[in-house]
Order: sequence, then structure tokens, then C-alpha cells
Amino acid sequence: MTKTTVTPKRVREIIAAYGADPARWPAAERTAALAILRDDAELSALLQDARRLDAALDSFAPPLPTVNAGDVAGRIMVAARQTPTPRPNETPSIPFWRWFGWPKIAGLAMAGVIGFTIGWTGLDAQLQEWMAPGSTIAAPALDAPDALLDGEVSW
Amino acid sequence: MNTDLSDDELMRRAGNGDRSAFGALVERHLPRVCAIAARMLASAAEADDIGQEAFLRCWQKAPGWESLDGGSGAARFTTWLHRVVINLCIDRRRRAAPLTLDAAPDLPDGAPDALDGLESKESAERVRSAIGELPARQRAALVLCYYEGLSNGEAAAVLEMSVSAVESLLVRARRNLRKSLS
Repeated sequence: MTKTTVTPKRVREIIAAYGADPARWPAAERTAALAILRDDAELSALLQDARRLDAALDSFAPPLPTVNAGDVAGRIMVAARQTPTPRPNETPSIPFWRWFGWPKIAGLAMAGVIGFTIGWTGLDAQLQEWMAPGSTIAAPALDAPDALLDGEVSW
Repeated sequence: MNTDLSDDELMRRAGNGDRSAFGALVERHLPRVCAIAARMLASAAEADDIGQEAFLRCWQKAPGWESLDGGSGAARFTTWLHRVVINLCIDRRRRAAPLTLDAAPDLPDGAPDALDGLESKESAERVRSAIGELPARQRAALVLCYYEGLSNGEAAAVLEMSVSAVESLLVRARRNLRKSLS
């Protein structure tokens, strides 16, 4: 373990960070820091200043907690019974959609929509006619969009 | 006896469903957990909530504790628990309204140094408010090192930063407090 050298600059840093009480200083540097302080008036003044801030900080007593350990443990275990935690050796079940794969599901869904639309609109019958040799089904009229604008055809 | 067992052993037993081991962990660490939360949040009610939330996470984490630790002893239970508490407090403060100094009493007249008048009880509120205004990480470093007596190494492990970064936070926290209180 390397021994760090404590300098007056380091003592200044220690006081600035940890305050005036040597009990709060890094243990490995405490003895050396105290030795330097004894002979340094400027550092002693810094220590005095830190002591005043420490006294102010010590005046802040936090509100006391009101729960007791037994109550806390009991409530947690009741809550845990209602939402059990998986054991480390259990594999959580994988939802079917993740196992099956999104692309496959999306493809199936699209096929279903298309099939439904074809059946609902009777398009399948028209398609069969169109595909048949010699079909004479006319192309949609060019003025169809105007019909939409005139309100004759609704969305 | 559960009181003789280490935190890691109690955690392992709790992970296997040993409720008395879990109870022993709570008994051992709840006071400090609530003290940290109370100083971070300056509220007993909120500190109690944080305490319960922290130990709920402890219970949920227990089954996997050994795998986190890997048997190396590197993941000390208290380091992990204190980190959970600090993060819960920081999250809660992010959601809460910031403290203001409006309700703080005025400094006593004629005081040669503002800090000299702050040892009295009525000024504790001003200190509480000043601590509450610190950025979260500065407040966490101050609570862990100054109030809870953690070493700089222990605080660095909780906050997941270097010792020099912790010291920097402490220096800035104390500087900011001096400005606020002056």
C-alpha cells in the first residue's frame, strides 16, 4: 500500500470537504493532518471557521421515523405474497406473440384483413370474372373523384 | 440465531423464503435507512415510505442475491441498500416541489457572522431548508459522510463514483451551505 504524503494544501482540502472534526477525516491521513495543523495558524483559523458550519449542521436533527421493523417486514411479506417474485431458476413464460415472431403475426393479420375485405365487398367474384379469359369489366370512371367531392360517395 | 449471521447470509436465506432472516435484516438496517431518508427528504412520513420501499426491493432482490454477488463478496449488502435508498430519495425529490426559504426565519440582527447565530433551535429550520436546496448528489454525499459517518470509500461505493469525486461533492456542498446560511 502506497503512503500518501499529507501537505498543508491537502489539510486545507480535508477541512473543506469533511469539516472540523478529525473523526470525520480520512483515517489514513488523520494523524499527519493533525500534526501539520498544530504549527499552522492559517489552517487553525480555517478549522475554526469549519467548526461554526459544523455546529450549524449539527443543529439539524431529522424527524424521527415512526415505523418499526416488525411492521415493515410483515407488510412487505404480505405484499410479496400478492405479487410473487420468480425464483432465480425459473424461466419466465414467453408470451406466444414473442415466440411466434412479429413478422409472422403481422403477415397473418394482413392476410386476414385482405381476405375479409375481399369477401365483404364481393370483390372476389369480380376478380374471378376479371381473371377469366375474355373479361369485359370496365376500368373505373375518370370522373369518380368528382363524385366524391360532390358528396355522392361517402367515406 | 439470525443476529449472528452476516447480511449476505441473511439475504441468501431470505432469498430461499426464510421470513425470519428477512425480518432480521429489516430489524438491523431499518433505523439507518430511515435516518438517511429523513435527512435526504426532511420528512418522517416520507422517510418511512422510503424505508418500506427499500426493503420491498430487498425482498424482491433476495432470490437473485447470490448471483449478483457471484460469491466474491464484492456486492456488500449495505452498499447496495444505501444506494437503493439514495436513489429512491433522489427520485422522490425530483417529483416533489422544491423547498423555498420563504418560511425561514430572518437572521438575528447585529450578528457579526451569520453562522454564529445558527446554533439555536429556531434556526435549525433554516439549515434544513439550506440542505434541502442542495443538488441531490451534494446532499447525498453530505448525508452519507457527515451525518451517517460513512468513510469516503464507503460513500464512493454507494454513489458509484471515485473518492475524489465524493470529496468534490462535499466541498461544494459545504460551500453552498455557507453561502445559503450567510
